[in-house]
Amino acid sequence: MKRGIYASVGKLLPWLIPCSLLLLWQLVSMIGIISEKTLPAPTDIMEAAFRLLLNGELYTHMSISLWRALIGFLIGASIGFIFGLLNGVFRYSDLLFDTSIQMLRNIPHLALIPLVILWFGIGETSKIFLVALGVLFPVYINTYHGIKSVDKRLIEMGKSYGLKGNQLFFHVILPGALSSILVGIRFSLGVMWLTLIVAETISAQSGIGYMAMNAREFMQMDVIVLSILIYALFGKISDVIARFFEGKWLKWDT
Amino acid sequence: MTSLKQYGVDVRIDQLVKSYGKRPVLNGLDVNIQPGEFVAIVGKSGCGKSTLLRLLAGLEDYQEGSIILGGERLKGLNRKARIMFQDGRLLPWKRVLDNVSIGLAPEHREKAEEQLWQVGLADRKEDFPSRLSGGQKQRVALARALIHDPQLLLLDEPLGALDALTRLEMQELIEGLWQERMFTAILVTHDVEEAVAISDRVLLIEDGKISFNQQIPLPRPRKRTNPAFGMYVETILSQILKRENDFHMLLSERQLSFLDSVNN
Repeated sequence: MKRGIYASVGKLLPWLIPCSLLLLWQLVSMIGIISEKTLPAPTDIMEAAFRLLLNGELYTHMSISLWRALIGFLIGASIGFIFGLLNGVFRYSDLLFDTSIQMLRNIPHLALIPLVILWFGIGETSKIFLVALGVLFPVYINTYHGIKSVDKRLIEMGKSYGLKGNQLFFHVILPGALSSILVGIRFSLGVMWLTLIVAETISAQSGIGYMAMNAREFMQMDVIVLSILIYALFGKISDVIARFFEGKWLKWDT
Repeated sequence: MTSLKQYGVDVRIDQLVKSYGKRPVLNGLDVNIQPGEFVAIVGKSGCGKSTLLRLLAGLEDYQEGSIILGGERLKGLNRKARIMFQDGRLLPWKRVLDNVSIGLAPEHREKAEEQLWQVGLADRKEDFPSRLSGGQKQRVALARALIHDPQLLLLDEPLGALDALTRLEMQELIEGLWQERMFTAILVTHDVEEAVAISDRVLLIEDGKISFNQQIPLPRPRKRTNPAFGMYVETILSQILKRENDFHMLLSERQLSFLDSVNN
């Protein structure tokens, strides 16, 4: 009985501060200490969310943002993963590509926005390109490093027990690098949302970032705050998904 | 499991030379090992005993001389041999049964289960290695080595990191499986008592060569309380220590490793 109480306290306690802050926020907004033009009350934001949900605007913007994030991520992560694998496993590939990739990595990808707009315009290509570019490097670095740091003694064991080529790769090298690869993926998910926010805010005609910028023109504070909250929600969800796969694939690491 | 008894391979090593850079580790080493013989190799740390084992496994190349197994010169990885490492080297991301069946076709899983049963771990087949104790990990490593029915089993201080009681259990297990299957076995150890307890013959490596060769004709199972047992241990220990010290005392393993650390 007592243990049950402790367990529910453990579950509830982390939410105490966020919930109190929310209540406080609502309270000061209602009293009028903070004006609606500085920060709208939580209930106003929820109202805006319902309004946009009902007229379908929220769905359109959210789905286009998600789609950009997903496609950009898939392209960038695949390229980073493949190069990380190749350069981690094959010496000549490493010699040929690694130096160049390390040089490119040091260019902040958001600095390319003006160039990308001139190249691709403000259509989908430019946003997907930027997301892919941002995601590529963390995945590359962690895949490469993960493969390079697989325990050499395990590889030797595998070879002496008759594993070679594909078998050695799938039974020893890839599982050995997996935890580092997943760290890279989680990091790159953060980069993915960051890039998308910036790209959509600067140049877009749809998406959450555009919704926020558009709301600014009409001084719709509630919609602006809503957009920020939606980005936070997206970020949190992708992190939860990444953690789920970590738990699933790294079950042995406990 | 094969019901037929497997017979070990004979090993002939002639004038073996292995050096790292300019420093020779093995310098003209000769030894012949009979099929099915259990040989223990002792020597100070850094004397090259583990290197010899790695050469026998084909994990490294040597510069001169030859290693001949069953009439065939060893080239590249030794397919007749399986090596058991001191640190176990189980794959942490594979369950026990999958660790044992590594390098085997999937249809041999039954064989893997049977092998696990032989080392007494049938009920742990679904566990990850991180759940096992040090002794259990080495049992899995032993099962993994034996499932390939090697004609030569190489043991690179596999019991070095285990506590005394577990070590005795493992020695009995290895001895029993060796008697049953009759493979040739070469054990590298720093524990002279272990060498005398389990092997037919103890070899001492010094200056890159076999400097001392002691048959152990004691009947099995061997009792450590047997006075002859103590005699063999003492003889071998005094051989190891002869060079540097004149005291022919019987030294315990702890004193030995202390001396080692002082000398280094």
